[in-house]
Amino acid sequence: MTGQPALQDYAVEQMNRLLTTLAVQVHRAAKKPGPDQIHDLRVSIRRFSQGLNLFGGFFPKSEAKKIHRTLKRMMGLTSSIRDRDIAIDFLAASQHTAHKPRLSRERSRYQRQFSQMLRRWTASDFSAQWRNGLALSATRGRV
Amino acid sequence: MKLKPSLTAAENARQILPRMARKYFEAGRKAIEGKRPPGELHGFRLKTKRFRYTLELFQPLYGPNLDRYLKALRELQGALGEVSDYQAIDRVLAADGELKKQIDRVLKTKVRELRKSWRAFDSDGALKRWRTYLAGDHSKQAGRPAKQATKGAAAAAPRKPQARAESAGGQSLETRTESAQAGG
Repeated sequence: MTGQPALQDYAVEQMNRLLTTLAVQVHRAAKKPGPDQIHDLRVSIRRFSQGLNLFGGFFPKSEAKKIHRTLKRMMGLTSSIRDRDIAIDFLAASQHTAHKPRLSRERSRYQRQFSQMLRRWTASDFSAQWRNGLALSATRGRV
Repeated sequence: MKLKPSLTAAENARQILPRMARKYFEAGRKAIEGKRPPGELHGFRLKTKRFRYTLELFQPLYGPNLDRYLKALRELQGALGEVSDYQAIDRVLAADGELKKQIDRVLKTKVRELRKSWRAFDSDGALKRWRTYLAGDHSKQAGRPAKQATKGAAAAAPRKPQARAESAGGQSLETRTESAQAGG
């Protein structure tokens, strides 16, 4: 065993790691909100959420709830973009062109909302706020 | 899953993960073998992600042998992802009757492939192997590089390679991989 870590220390270490990854993916998606970046962001959100679910007992309940709500909004928005990306790929593969302009317009609209949300996240230095809110900052640095 | 702060992280993992595996297999059998409508597979897909991400959270305590189990799970997740992709396409293109017929045809094939993947995943006492492995003390393997740790894992690990995995080069419409982020 790698030193038989106490559960709380282990939870804090894992959550720090997941939040660092999430912050990296947010910055990456903010720079270029393409399908790959959005996919990776969604994966890191799910991982972080699952960590928060599993180790939630170690963190302030109200803060964890607030973060869950924020993540849920982001997942909803990225889901709308992802659905259009998949459908556009499908149309290209099956050589249909009829619906592509509509889907592209819809994607652009959702992407604008997504970019706005990401700007708010990055402007408010969300990872530092969450690290403080979850009391993770005592043990690790931040992105 | 209730964690016990009085126990170490590894002891907690050995207690909760075998139970989680049992519940996961039960959910899979119900969702996939139960011949339910494809829409109901969405919930199982989310369970698969949650199970995988929970295992990954404890991965440092198990060492590289856990990779074999995670690989099987990723491959199943790939098959679930294919079904989900076509459900998403159906959501945004259902108004076009011709396209809908085409999408439904592919979706049926993907569901059949998923059932096949599930049967391979849940075969030959797989649940027992999962539970035995997750309940075991793997402290000697933890932190070791993969080559040293794989010895002795073969008997416990899932036996059959699966049809497709996002992270093993399988092509979904999204063609994205989650492995790039694996382990954070």
